[in-house]
Amino acid sequence: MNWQWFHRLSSPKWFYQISGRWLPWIWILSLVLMAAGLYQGLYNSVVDYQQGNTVRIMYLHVPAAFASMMFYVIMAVAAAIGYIWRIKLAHMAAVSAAPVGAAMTFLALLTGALWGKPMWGTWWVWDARLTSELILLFLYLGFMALHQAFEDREVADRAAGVLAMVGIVNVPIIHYSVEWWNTLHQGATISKFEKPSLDPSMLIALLLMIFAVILFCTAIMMYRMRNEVLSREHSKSWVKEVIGL
Amino acid sequence: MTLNEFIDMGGYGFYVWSCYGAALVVFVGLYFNVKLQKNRIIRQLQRRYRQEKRKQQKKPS
Repeated sequence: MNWQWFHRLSSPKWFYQISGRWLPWIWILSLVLMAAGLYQGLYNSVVDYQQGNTVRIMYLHVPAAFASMMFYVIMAVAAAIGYIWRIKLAHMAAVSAAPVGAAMTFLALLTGALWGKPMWGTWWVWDARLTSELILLFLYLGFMALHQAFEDREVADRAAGVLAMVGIVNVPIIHYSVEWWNTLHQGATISKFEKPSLDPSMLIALLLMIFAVILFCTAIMMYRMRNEVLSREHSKSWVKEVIGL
Repeated sequence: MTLNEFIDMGGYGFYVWSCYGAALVVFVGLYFNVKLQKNRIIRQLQRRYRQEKRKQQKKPS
């Protein structure tokens, strides 16, 4: 089997060039989708018959929560690839995904609290969904702290990578927590296998915001990876050319 | 819908707008955080390259 594509794909220089070409388009697409999603979510969609206008919090809460789990999986898979095949770019991806995922976890918890207060009558409960999402935040923070604790970047990559890989057991726990345990949190709103239980105007707003947030997070992660590449490959002649003097 | 009704959000204005305000802060924060990181790295590398150049010039070849 020809593995050349794999090595090209994992070349920091190649990534730097291709991401530079893609990034402006990802930014634009993300901002356009977000503008449309905000218009749809805040203005052009119906009010929930039980929750009134607080349902508009969903258009931030669900995308943030989704991204918080998605970027954890990206981080853990990248860390595993870096660990097993010793690919530098994969470790850079893991390191770059962590702050983005942590920010989305924080946003999901915050919007959840601001939604919980008017609807459940409490900012916080120690139930399965909320607690496992809080653990996700600690996993992200632990990953970043552990990575910074080592002087040697390669040791840091491997040590923090193990934490990321072990922590992935938490992701299915978050996802199924509303089914496995009794909880205040409602179940999944959209599922791949069932007809959506949402009004179409809500569904459009939600999907627009999910894609907008994911693209925005992807853009931030790629931007961080580009910084990592420059910083770690600083002795390469092409980096010297990029930086200039 | 009037502007006041829009801001009031059926009495839930505080909760809804706090969420969107927080999201704005988080998104803008993520962007400037990575932008400042880039500027810092470029400055560091430029300094490093200048030092390397000076060292090479001092060495008699």
